[in-house]
Amino acid sequence: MNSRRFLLILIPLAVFAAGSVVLALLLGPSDFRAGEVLGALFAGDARANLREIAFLRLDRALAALLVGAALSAAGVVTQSVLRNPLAEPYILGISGAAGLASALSALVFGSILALSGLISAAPAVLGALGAVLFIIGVQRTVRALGSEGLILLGVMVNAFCGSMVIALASFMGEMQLMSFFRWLIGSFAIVPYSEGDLVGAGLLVLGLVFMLMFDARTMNLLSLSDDEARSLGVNVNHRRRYLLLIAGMLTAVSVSLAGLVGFVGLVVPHAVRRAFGADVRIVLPASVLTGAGLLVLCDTLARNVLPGTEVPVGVVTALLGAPVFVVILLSRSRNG
Amino acid sequence: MAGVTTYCNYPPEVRKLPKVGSLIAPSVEMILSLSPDLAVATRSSGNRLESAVALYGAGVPVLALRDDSLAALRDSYVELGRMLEREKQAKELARPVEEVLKYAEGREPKGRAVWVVSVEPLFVAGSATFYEDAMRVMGFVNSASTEGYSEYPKESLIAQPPDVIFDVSGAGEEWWRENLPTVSDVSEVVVLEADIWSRPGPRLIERLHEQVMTNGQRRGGD
Amino acid sequence: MAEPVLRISDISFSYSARKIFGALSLEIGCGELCCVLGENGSGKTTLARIAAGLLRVESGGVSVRGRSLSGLSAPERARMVVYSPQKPVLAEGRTALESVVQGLHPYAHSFFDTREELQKARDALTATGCSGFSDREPNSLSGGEYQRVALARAFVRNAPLVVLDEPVAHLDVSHGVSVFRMLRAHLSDESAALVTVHDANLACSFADSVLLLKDGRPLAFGPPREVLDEKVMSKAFGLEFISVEGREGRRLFLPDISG
Repeated sequence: MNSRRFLLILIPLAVFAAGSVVLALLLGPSDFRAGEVLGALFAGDARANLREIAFLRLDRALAALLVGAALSAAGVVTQSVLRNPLAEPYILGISGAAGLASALSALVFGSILALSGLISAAPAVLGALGAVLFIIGVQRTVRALGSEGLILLGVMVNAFCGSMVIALASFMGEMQLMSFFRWLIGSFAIVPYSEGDLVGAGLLVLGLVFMLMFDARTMNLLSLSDDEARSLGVNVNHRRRYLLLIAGMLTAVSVSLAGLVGFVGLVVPHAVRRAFGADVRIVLPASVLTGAGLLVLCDTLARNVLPGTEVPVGVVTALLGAPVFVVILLSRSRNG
Repeated sequence: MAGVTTYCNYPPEVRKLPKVGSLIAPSVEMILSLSPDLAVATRSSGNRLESAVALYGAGVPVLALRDDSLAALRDSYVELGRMLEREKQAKELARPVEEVLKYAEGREPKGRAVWVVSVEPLFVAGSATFYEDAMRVMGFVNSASTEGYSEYPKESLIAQPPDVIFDVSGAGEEWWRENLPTVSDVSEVVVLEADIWSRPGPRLIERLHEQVMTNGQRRGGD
Repeated sequence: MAEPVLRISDISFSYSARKIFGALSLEIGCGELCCVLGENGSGKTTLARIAAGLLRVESGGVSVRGRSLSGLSAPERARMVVYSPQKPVLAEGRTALESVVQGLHPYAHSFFDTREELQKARDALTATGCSGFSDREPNSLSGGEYQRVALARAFVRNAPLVVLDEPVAHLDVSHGVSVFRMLRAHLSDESAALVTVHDANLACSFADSVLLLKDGRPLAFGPPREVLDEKVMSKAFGLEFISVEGREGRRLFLPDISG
């Protein structure tokens, strides 16, 4: 891996991510001409409703950009640390646990929106970290479980959290239920952050990804055996815990923003590895950019595909992701 | 009356009755344990046919009523009255519905409106809902076109604000001013009490009747 | 006499209740190759992992060039000892060259692979006869090629102590011999190797010293022609052996199997 190849891959992907945001700004259900809406972003004297639409689209695009980046980075980390290309925050149950914690707090505080801004992420963070600690604990005590076992464990965590959430939902009012189920599927129709908070969350995600980049070489070594990684100077248990906790934080940020958007962390790193090889030094930043752009495109599709209404973005990502999961699983069993 | 759902709270006496589950998930076992002579269900609100079949199979007659339009509600009152042999009371309940319907007949709509059931996400009553019918009799065409309750793009609301926004979500005028200022500049936000305006019952009919008739008289006097 | 490269003194270790080593000692000097010989389950891998600092002993000490392994940080230790397990893993989706560069990780200081690192990796691949397929990925390599790339990765950082666990277990005789030749060529006056092997004849042909293990206990330690004979061999492997005189006075062993 050298800097030339690094830039040759990342610059076009950055253009792709930026382009997806532009496209998201141009497309929408209203009849205004695309250029008018885009122009209203920069012209302070544009019609108020045009500006409102422009910023509505911009906020959503930024939120999708962030969530796509965070989930993809978390996917890269879990896959390399747990040595399983199927490991992904959603499948491992990290998102589910974050969702359960959010549901609990929603019940206690009245609504997901009753807590405003970044504080609303707190329960999700606690839930995600709880799930990560659970995974780490299981890995330490039951080594024979293996990484396929860990996936099954995640399925169970998801089932448990899902059922708990449904049980909690029966205590909710009709109105609360509606917004809650939307959130469970994963949707950007509600952006619970103000623009300032969005910037804050963006900086947080950027910082976490940056921290991960320092460990890109280490993650490469973690895909070898534990003994080999250790003999190469990696403090395996310590690094694994640290990296999973960062993945948990990234998941929590995205859960607090968009609910349970699945499969992004699976599809994106998989496609990136296919295209550019398995070196985490390139897979991580390339996945971050690809995931960011892809989720913006998914959300743009979700906003525009049905006339007069929109579908939750989680539906789009699941339609995209579930077949990819099956393909990876089958190709793994064939090779293994 | 032997039992109610977890959502039922009016009249206050029903709160003391045994709860038999929610609309989406009624407990067939709970219902059977009360050995009722009749189970009344709505055909809308996501009720599941399986629950009705299970009850019917256990020997409890099920009366499935429609409440997705004013006319359907009127017919449901009449039918329920017949079943319970309280035809006179049923007619009493159906009369204001009838009056409202008659009044609205043949009148030109005076504007467009949306019926907001939730603001985050923005969910509105679409076609083939009771509330679309309620807006119609008040003189408004529904801006939302999809069937049932569905997500309404905020952007469409900003691009073409309706004349009136009926808000039963509990968000209040403040929310509209803060989150969609250009919409609240154009549209009249009518905040309605969710407890009354989110279920098609006699209390809602009473208010609707009042609204339609007084506005109508005002308009009639113009 | 110069400081030995590896000194294992009086170590004991046990897996749950089963005691493996009680007071085992061993020294490997500069430029020396020590083979650990024994049947399956005799404790060879455990000893290799202890020598590599991957397992903590209960008592006694392991030091490389006079520095105790337990007192070193993971990166420091990695610069002193290189360890290659019985089934080395070359990362999927990475070329042989990229895999070998990974062997330099304990010295890595930049995000990208430097020209210097790449050159070292190429030299290591050449030394193990892999230069012809340095850009191939692991799933397209034969068993022998795979093992040699792993060997290049082990050699590339020139650690004082090389610990290889069964490097020839899955190779035929001629490939096994070439692995040992490469190892001998790699060792300098400053380095030493501890290699586990179950083929006594490879040990007799290449090792300066052998440690013969049976159930975690040393049966013999020293230069092979001095310490190995038919008696101790049959004790270690539970089979009758006949010894044969090889070239240069080497003693070779043949299992004498009766039907």
